[in-house]
Amino acid sequence: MSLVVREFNKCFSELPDCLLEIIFSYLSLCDIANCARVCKNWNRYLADENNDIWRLQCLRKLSEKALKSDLLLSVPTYKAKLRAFYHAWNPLDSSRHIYIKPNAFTLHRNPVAQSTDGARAKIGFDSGRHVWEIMWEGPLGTVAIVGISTKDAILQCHGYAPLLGWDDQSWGWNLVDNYLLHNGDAGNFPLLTNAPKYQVGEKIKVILDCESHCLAFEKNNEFLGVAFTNLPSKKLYPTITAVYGNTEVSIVYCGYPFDG
Amino acid sequence: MDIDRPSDPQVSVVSSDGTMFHTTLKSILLSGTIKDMIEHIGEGGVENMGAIPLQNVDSKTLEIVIKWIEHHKDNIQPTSEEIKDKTADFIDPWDENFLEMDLDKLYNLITAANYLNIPQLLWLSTRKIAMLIKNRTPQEIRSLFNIEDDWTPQEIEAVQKENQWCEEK
Repeated sequence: MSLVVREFNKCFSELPDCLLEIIFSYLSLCDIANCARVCKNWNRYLADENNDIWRLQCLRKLSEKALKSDLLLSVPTYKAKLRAFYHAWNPLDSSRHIYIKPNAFTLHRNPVAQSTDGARAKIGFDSGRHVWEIMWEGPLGTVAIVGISTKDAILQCHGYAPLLGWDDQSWGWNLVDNYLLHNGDAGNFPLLTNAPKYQVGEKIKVILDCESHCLAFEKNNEFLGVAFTNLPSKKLYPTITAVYGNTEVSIVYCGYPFDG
Repeated sequence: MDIDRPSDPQVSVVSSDGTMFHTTLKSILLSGTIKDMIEHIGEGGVENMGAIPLQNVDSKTLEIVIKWIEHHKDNIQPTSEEIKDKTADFIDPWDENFLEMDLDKLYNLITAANYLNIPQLLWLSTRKIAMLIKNRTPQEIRSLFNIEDDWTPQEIEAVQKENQWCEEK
């Protein structure tokens, strides 16, 4: 009897990849995440981030156009692209003057006078280390801030204000004057004399380390240093705030930092 | 119908454990593997060819497969592409009932459908497995399919962290 059970045991955990592929193709992303935890063989199949299962899941969420766009160059696999999609701007958690474009990664701030408008990403972090890219694809205006916030930070206010970093629930770097903001003020960044200002189209990497509670920035693959320390153990969300009409800002979540 | 000259000649197949089964050409042609074999022989050879040995299918499973192909021999079989595109919401009640079998039989049926290349049967039987996986936790899936938990707590935690975002709505 026990022999029969053992033989049976082996069967389903060691299904050949071509059959696992057909079975998994019927499942939702949530079910697939559960399958990855069933046994090592199933996980080994799903660890191939470019296989047909990830391609299928990716195509259910992302258009062919978005998949091929240069925006997603730094997330080469289907799984990484899908993960970036799940971490992109949250249409339900942004100022009413902002809409998220069909690609899901780019926000557009409508031309509204005397308003400051922000957007948060869909997923916040309270553990692990995370990196995401921010690309400002339109003029910065007088205040353009990149950083993080808790769900308690407001995302819209009157006037053209340094909103991200206004209170103790958000932390931001104003790209216009290279200045850090938290609770209203935090100082110059990066700590260089005559540090070059952000040019439209440049890639900023935001690095959040929830283990050592700090936030750092990188520009065009150059590490600029730690900007904030002593971050709280609350869920922290990628956030930006903008003031310029028709400006566009994209976010691409990259996963874990490569370095040690 | 002309009874003297059957348009659907008899064909015999032999299971891995030596049992011979008789079915018809029309039925057995649903198997891509056997179809290729027969095409190789040429149409005329069919009536003179001996029993086809199927070394990867045991008699219990072959009996189930034959039941399915005989029921479906007059249906138009969808192509693999059509099957892939199909969202698979509608299942023929006969098939639904046919698939009511224990999991080791179902496992053998899947591997046989794969070996014999019967796309629609493979599609139906794997779908059945997927429906059993749906909305179940990893532990529930393991106990249902009798799969050994081969993870250390550290390993499983790392996999869970890696895929945590998949559970977001």
